Amino acid sequence: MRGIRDTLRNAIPLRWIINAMSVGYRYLWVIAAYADLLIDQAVEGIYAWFPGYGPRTDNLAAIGATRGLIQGEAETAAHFALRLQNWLTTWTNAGSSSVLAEQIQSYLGNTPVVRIVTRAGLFVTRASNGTTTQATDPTWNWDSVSNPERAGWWSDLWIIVYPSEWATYANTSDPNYVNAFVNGWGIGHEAGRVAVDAILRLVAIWKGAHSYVVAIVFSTDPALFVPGSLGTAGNPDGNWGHWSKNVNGIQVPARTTATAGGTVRYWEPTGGGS
Amino acid sequence: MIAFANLVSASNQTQVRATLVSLLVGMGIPADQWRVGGPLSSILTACSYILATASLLIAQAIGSGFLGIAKGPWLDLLGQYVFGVTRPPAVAAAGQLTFVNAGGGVYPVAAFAGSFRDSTTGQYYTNTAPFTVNPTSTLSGVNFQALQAGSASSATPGAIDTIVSPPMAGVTVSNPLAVAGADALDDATYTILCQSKLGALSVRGVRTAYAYAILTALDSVTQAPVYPVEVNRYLVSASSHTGTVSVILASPSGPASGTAIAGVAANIEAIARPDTVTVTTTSATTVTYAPTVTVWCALPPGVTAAQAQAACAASVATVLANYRIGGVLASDDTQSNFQGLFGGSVAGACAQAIAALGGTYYSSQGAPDLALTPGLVATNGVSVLVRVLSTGVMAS
Repeated sequence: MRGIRDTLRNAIPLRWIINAMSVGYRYLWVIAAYADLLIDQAVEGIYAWFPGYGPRTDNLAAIGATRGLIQGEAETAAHFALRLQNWLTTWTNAGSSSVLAEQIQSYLGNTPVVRIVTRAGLFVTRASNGTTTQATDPTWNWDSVSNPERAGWWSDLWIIVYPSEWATYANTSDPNYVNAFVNGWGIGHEAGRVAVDAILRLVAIWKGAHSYVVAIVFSTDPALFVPGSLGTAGNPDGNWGHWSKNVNGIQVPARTTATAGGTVRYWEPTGGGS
Repeated sequence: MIAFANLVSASNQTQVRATLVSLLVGMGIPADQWRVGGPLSSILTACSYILATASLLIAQAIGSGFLGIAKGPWLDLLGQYVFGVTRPPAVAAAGQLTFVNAGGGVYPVAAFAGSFRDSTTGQYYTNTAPFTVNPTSTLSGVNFQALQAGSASSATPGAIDTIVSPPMAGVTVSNPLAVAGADALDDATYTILCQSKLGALSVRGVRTAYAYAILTALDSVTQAPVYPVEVNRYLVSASSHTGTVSVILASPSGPASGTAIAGVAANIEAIARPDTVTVTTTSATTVTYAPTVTVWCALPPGVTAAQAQAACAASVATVLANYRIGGVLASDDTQSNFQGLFGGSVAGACAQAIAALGGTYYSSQGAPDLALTPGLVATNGVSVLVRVLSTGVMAS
């Protein structure tokens, strides 16, 4: 693109041009150069409004703040730009299970499968490739035995993430467990504080105000919590209302923490996701 | 490519001139040695002003594409033309006046023909409907509004105390109740309003949809915006097992009026509530916070303890009028179970007031914490006692 510097020669005395190194020419050239810089700034700035336009990526955070979306832990700029372009569709469906799953999946660095389950047994699953499917299985039974009074809590939700991107501790002697506090990790698995805060924030923003997230479940066993297979071992058996249950006078874990297929960890968001 | 941070930040005249000088020096012209006031130097300075103005304009225009960066009129453009949200304008204080006629005159006043004044603030008000003051009688309920919109038009009870025109011998005027005006929505709140609009695009009732409904609600009777005069604080419940959303509203003075609540409820119904969800909209419950706070300070010459006391009281009132419904959670590990109004906020308000007067705040005493539950707001019953110390003498 021709700048003001290039057109300068049309506006100044011929002898200045002939003697390109004259003080007058250089003086005007410097001022023209600054004006060209401002023009570049204006043009690039307008381009910066548009996510994914051109090679620029340092504008995406500001566009995200404008459009109410955050970039995932390991999300590429190109993918985030696409989501930013789709912002109105996303917000039009805010509060739906599919968008809640999408937001969590987009944030997590391992692009996991994310499944949202309602108490009535409606399963909305977002696969790693971004496709969303829906299924029903009314045998979903988290706490009917431990908490039968909750049967009418129709706006309860569960969020299940497969697989967890964070390692679980081998045991309480695991050096990572011993240093979990220092590292800012959770006591159940090596989830960092930044990620925890981000996910809880996503839940608070993208769920309906009327719904309650009972638990966010991180499972490395893909065979668990699958509609149509809820009767198999390791799935909720109605006793999962609390983390422990009493068996013959002894408190034991109520929820599955490990299977042959992997480990499972549970977050219970304060206030159901506030 | 210019870094994004530089796209949205402007160079001032000094920076522009320094850059021009640097470029000229780089091209072998000793601009850094030019005599100040010489023709080349002066022209360069003039150019730097022009270019700096252009730089500012360009940076602001680019920033108008981004919430959180756009400011002032540029934010108005973004809000209106991208988010479809117009910035709520300033609101003139309005209410009702009472006239007491101790004499025998009859004074008919046409609408907008009267002029009344708050002798303390100097604000002027006019009647919005015709009225007649009859001999030896009291006339209440005369509607009025401030001539100038904005929070400065607010008046405390009885503060509107002067009849400017028409002359009314033997007649006194007063406003029995406080009236409040409001400034146009500030950039930060307008930005929140724009962000909340996104939630209102959905029919599934995310929390921002409720926030947008509250912020854009109209009083059910006056049809005036309820925010921020009638409602300046709100709380939307975070979650529910049974599909219920609880919305709690508060006004600067504490409780929200019935007509404001009705207006908000109607707007929530129109904008935010999904089918099958139950929404309850109520006023916050008030609890009076009425300690006597003693402030120790030093004041500059010319500032009296009474002035300091009034400034502290006003500052405390502002803090309490805006304190979050239900208070705030303790961030201090030693008070991890405490939620409510922190006495430190009141003390801080006094400290700010003293500093604004040019004084030195030393300490304060008697501002305890007040526990609040999520539906409670504290109303202002604070008494402030100012103790002025000589400079350099600390309170013991």
